Amino acid sequence: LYAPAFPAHACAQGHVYRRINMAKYILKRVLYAILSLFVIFTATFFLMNLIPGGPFNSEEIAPEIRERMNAKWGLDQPLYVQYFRYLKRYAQLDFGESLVMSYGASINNILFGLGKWPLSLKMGGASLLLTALLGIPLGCIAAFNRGKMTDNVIRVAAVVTTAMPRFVMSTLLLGIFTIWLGWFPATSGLMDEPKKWVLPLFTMSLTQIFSTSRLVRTSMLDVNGADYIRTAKAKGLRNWIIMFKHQFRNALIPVITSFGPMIAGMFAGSFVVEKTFVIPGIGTYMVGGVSARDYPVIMATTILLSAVSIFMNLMVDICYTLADPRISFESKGD
Amino acid sequence: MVLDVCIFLHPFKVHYSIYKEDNMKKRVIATLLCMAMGLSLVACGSTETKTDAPAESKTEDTKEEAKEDTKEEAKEEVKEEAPAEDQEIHLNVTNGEVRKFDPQLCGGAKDYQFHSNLCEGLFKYESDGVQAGTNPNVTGSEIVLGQAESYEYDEATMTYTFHLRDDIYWSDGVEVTAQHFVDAWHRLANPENAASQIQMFVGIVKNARAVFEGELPYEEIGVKAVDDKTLTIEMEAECGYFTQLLAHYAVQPLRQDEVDKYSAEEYGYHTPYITNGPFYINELVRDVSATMVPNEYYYDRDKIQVDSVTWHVCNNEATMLAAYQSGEWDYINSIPADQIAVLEASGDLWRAPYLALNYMYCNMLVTPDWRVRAAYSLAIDRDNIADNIVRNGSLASTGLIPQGITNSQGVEWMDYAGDIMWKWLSEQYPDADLTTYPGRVELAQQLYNEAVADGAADPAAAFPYRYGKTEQNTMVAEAMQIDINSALGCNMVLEPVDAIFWDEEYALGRLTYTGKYNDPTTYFNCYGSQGQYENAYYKQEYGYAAEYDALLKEIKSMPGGVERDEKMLELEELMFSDKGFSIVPLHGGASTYCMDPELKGIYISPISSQVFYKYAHY
Repeated sequence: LYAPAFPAHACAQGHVYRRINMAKYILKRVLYAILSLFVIFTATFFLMNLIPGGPFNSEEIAPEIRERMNAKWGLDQPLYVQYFRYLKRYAQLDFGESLVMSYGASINNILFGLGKWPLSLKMGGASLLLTALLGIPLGCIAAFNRGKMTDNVIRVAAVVTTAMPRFVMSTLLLGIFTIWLGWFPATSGLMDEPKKWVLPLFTMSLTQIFSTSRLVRTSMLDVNGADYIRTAKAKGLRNWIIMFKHQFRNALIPVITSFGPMIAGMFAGSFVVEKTFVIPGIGTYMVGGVSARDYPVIMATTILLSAVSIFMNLMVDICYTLADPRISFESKGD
Repeated sequence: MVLDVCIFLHPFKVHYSIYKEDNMKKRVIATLLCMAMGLSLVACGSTETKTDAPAESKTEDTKEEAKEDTKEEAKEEVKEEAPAEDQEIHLNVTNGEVRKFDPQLCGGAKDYQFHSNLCEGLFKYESDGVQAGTNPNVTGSEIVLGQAESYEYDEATMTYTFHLRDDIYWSDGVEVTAQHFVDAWHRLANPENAASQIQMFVGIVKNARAVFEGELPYEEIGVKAVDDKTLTIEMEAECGYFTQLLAHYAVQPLRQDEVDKYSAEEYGYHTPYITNGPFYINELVRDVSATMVPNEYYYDRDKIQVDSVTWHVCNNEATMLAAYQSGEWDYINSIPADQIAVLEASGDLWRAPYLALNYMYCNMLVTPDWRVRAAYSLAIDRDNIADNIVRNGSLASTGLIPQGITNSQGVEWMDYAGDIMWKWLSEQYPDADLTTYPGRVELAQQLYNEAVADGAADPAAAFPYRYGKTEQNTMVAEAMQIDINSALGCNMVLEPVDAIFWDEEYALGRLTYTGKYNDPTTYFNCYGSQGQYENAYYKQEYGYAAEYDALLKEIKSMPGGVERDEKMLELEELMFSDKGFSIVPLHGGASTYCMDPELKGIYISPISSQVFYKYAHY
C-alpha cells in the first residue's frame, strides 16, 4: 500500500529534476501570493470605506476644520482616485501616513522603525517556540501512555484550554498570578524584563500547546498501525529508534500543516493578549486603526498580516518535503 | 504541485491521495481562503472592540524606543530613589492613551489629566481645602493666580494687563517670559495648525474670530508682550469667566525654541518635555507609559513631596483592576461595573463630582415637528436611568445645564433654574401634570398623537437611535427604547456604532459633553448656528435657531451678574419650547475611581475630572 518511509533511491534519481521543479513551484506560488494580496488590498480598501464614519468625525473637531483636513488628505476625492493613489503608494512599498492615531506620522516608521512589528514578531516567535517545545513532547507522552492517567490529564487540559477564550484565560491568569500570588506584573509594556514575558506568553500559547499535543498524539497513534512500523518492529529495532526515525517523522506532517495557520493567527490574534497586558504591538494597532477609521493604518496592518499568512502557508508547504520526500513538486501532467 | 488547502480543514485525516487532486481547484480555494483570512482580520477587529473597549478605544500609534541614555538615566534615578519607594505614584491613563504633549494642538477632555500637572498658565487650579466627593483625602479646587502675580483690567480699552511673577522658571532653568505666553497664543491661532481650541476664545479675545476665519494674520490676535514680565490681552467682549479660561492648558506658555528643535512628528513625544509647572515629563514610552518628575525650578518646589508620577496606558478594565489590587498602581479611574459594589465595600472605591451632560441630539431634518421631539423628551424616565441603570451618583437632568455649574451668585445652576425643561410646556398645557413621570407620558402621548393626526409623524416608521456601543450606553438605550416605544407606540430602533458620527439619517444620537469652565455658556456655546457641537442641524441655514443665536450673542456681550443669569435662563427655556427640543438631556456626570486609601494631598476639579498630584504624598 504505502511505500517505505524513505525511498532513498527515488530521491537520488530525481535530485536535479526536483530542484528545478521546486524553483518553478515557488515562483508560481509567489505570483499567486501577489495576486492574493492584490485582491485583499482591493477588497479591504472598499470595505473600509464602507464602514460608516471617517477619520475626522471626532467630536473634538469642528466641522470647518474637518473639511480642511479631509481636503488635505484627499478624502474628499472620489473613491477610485483614492484607490489608485493607494495602489501607487503600495507598489512602492510605502504604507503612507496615519490620519488619526499619530496624525501625519509615517506608518512604515511606526511599524518597522519604532518597533511595533518586531515586538509582535518577537512575541509570536516565542509563542511558537513554546508551542513546539511543550506541545510535541506532551503529545508523544500522551500517545505512549494512551488511556492512562497522564493521557487523560492532557486530554482534559486540552478541552479546557481550547474551550476558553483568550480574554477569559488572561483574566484568570491575572487573578491567580498577579492579584493572588503577586508573582508577575499586570502590564508587560515593552517586555523588557523576563517576568513580563510569562503571562502574555502563556495566555497566547496554552491553547496551541494543548491542541498541538492532541494532534501529535492522534497522529502518532495513526502511524503506529502502519506497515513500516510493523516492519521496523519485526526487524527488531529498538523502541526509541522506531519512535524517532519512523513514527515521529511521519506523524509530524499534520503538525506542520497546523503550524501555518497557527502562525498567521498568532500575529493577528495576539490582539487580546496585547490589549490585556498593554503591549504596544501590531494587534492593538490594527484594532485601534479600525475603530478610529484610520484608513491607512487599517490598510497597512491588513496587508502586512495577510502577507505573513500567505508567506507562512508557503513555508509550510515547502517544509512538507523535508518531512516527507514522497511529496514532490511535480504537477499531475508532468 | 502540492499546495493542499484541504488538509487545513481536516488536519486529523491526511490521505496521500489528496495530493494528486486537480490543482486548479485548490488554487482557487487557496486564494479564496487567503482573502477570507485577510478580510476576517478587519471584521474581527471591530468585533473585538465591541466587547472589550469600555469607551472609545483608540490605541495610539507607535512605541518609541526611548533614547538609550535617557532610559539608563531614568533607571539610575529609580535606584537612587529606592528607599523612598512609597513616594512614587502609578496610575492609569483615562481612555487609555498618552497623546502627544502639545497643549495647543491637542484638545480633548482627556488631555486635561496631563496638562493640568505639567505647564502652568496665568491662572492655576489650587486646592480649596474642602473635601470633594466621598474620599476624605481628596479636596476640591479653585482657580487662583498662577504664573501671574497680579493683573489689572481697564474697562475703557477692554484690556487685561498681567504682571508675571519674578520666580518662575522652566524645568531646564530658563526664566518664563511674557513672550512664551504670546508664542502659545500664536501657535493656537495659526490656521496652519488647525487648532480647534481657538474656538474657546472666538468672540472674546480681540481678533480671535477674524484670525480663525482667516481674515487677519494670526499675529494680529490681541495678546501682546509689553516687556519680559508684562502681558496684555485685549478683549472683544466682556467675559465673566475669562480668568477661568486662562487656567486652561491651551493658553499655557510655550517654548518655541523646543518646537523648532524637533520635527513635527517628534515634537510632543520627545523627552524631557520641558514645562513651567510643578512636574515635567522625563520618560515617555509611546503607548506604554509616561513618567513625570518634579520641576526643580518650580516656585513651590518645597511643597512637592512625590518623587514621580507615572501614567500607564491601559484599555482593559480587568488589567487595571489587577494592577491596582496587586499594588502596582495607586489610582485607577475606570472600574468594571460589576466590581463597583465590592470595591466600595472594601473602601477602595470613591466617587467624585464630574461636570458632564449626557444627552441626545434630535435630528431636526428627520424630526422637524417640535411636538414629536418634545414627546421623545417627555417619554423618557430619567430618574429610572440615573438611579437604576447608570448608578454612579449622577443626577437626572432637569435642563441643559448639569450639576457643577453655578450662577453669578454661586448658587448651583440646577437649583437656580429648577424644572426648566418643562417650564414652557407647563405654561402651554396647564392641565398637564409634568412633575410626575406618568403625567409627562400623558402629555407626550397627546403631543405625539396630534402630530400623527397632522401627518407629521408616522408611528410605523422605524427611526434609528445611534450611540457608541459601550455597555452602559447600551443599557440606557434599551431602557429608552422601551420608554419611548411603549409610551408613544412608535418604532425606535437601536443603532450601536464603534465611534459616534453624524449624518442626515440618524433620528436620535447620543453624546456626552464635558464642560470646559464653570459658566453655563460652556454648554450654550455648543449649539446654535455657531455651535461647535451642533449636530442636530439646529442652525439658521436650516431655518431654526434664529432666536437662540440672537439671545446667545446678547449674553456674550453682557458682564457677569444677575441680569446675565436671567438672560441665560431665558435661553435655556427657549431650548425647551416649540423653537427648541433639539437636545434631549438625560443625566449629568459623576466619576468613580479607586485610590489607595493611604494616598493623601490630592485635589481634583469636576471640570474634565482633573486630578492634581502637586501635594500628593503617603
